[in-house]
Amino acid sequence: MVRQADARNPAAARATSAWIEVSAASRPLAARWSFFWARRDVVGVLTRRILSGRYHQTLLGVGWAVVHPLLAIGVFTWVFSHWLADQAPGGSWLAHNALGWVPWGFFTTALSGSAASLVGHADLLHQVALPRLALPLAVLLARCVDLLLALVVVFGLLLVDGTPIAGSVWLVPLPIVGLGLQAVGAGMMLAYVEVRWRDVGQVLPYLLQLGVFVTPVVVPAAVLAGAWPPLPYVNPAWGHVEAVRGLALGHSLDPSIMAAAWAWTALAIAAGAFTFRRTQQHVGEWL
Amino acid sequence: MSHPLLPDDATRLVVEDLGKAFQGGPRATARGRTWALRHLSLKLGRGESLGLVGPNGAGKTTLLRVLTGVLHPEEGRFLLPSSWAGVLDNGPGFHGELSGRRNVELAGVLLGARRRDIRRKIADIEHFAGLEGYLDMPLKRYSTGMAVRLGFAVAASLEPELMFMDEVLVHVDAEFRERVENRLEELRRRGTTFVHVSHDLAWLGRMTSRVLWMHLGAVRADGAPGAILRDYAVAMHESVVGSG
Repeated sequence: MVRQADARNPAAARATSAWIEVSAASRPLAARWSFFWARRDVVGVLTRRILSGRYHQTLLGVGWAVVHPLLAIGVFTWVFSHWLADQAPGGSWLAHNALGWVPWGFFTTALSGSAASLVGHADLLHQVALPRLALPLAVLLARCVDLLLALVVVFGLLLVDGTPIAGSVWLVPLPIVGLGLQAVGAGMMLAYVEVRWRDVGQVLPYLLQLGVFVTPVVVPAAVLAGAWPPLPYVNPAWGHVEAVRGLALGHSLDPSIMAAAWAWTALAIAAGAFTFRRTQQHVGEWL
Repeated sequence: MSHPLLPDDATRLVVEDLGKAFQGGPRATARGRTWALRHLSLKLGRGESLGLVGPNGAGKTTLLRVLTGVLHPEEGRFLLPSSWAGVLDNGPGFHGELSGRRNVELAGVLLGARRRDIRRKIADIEHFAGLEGYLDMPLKRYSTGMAVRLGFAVAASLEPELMFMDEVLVHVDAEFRERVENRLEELRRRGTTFVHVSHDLAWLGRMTSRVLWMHLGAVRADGAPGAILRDYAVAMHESVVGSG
């Protein structure tokens, strides 16, 4: 809580301009929007700290942001075009896999990264009060850098491959934003759960690996939905991953599946906001 | 939320009946919690410099962590000016892969400065630390003393109304220590209020105008540095002799 001091006082120039009050019953400093706004520059410097830490002492540096997805896309495309060559959805396995893997990689790394952001920065959180939103947001922004590089490469691949890119490609950022908000909202909630129960860090990687097989990343949507029709609505990432591919290649999108994906995104934002406001006071002690 | 009267213009910190408890511990109450800090009240004026002393576990660092928002209290309340800085560690967030310059920005922003203000002061910080020409080198190539100097130069570049410092001056030589003392004294004359935690009683004797002796999360004595530091030194000596 910040209030202005009495400006009529002749000593006002020397008086403190505003007071911050913290009490046992009040919201913790780190969970206040006013504190987030006052310390907003923290997001930028933390993003840079995360980026410099990720690729240090590697020959390729940030090039790994491109090599990782390329390797995965290459393997899946080679396998699928050998055994399932005649079933390529929309013409090319390369285009299909590349446009599935890149948003999926962004989603899973942003989600696991923001879920690990509090426990992973425990040393920092013992030194300074950080606005609760700062770390998950910095993780997301650092992943956006990787995503932009990967997208440039993917569209380069499509040009080489001769796959026609649809006019609706300019709308691709929309489902990307949907995925990013989903990842950071859910990731923020998981980050606070992980502070108390580190099991989250053990379980999440396996859940995300399983996610590849229930999301139209490489396995075509028709195959998965054929196995269990409610899947596109139950899987939060499904609609957004489909939308990235559909908008880039000009496929028609199912409005009800898109609505479900955005409903999941709204739910994740609500979960993140709830966490921001209501998480227990004990984060500093459990870290 | 209550709307108490604001403190007067000369006040820089008001702490009322503050309490912080942790789960477990040897002095746990019926609810399984140990009070690391309880019923602590304190008021500091503009330009005052308070030293906190006490044996390990007295609650000094817990008090600083509560007042800087790292921990949230279970009881009581406090008021502090919006312009404050909590230096609980030297060079918070320092990262070996980043250059000295980037680390200055990082630590400065984590301590509450705006990025553009830190950028404006970077030449002063470089000069104060005595590290001209080293700022573009990755921090991992700095010696321990160089990193400590840089971290402290960032903290010293801030001009908050209230500053908390927890045992940040280790690993520096006498020349740099004197430079730091001069800078802190200059800030104090301009009105900055300080709260120092240290086990270096000589340093506290020089740098404080008042000392609070803490014991088991409460205030044992509060007054002028000379008398309190002497009594505290005697008590520490007796406890060593008594247990030995």
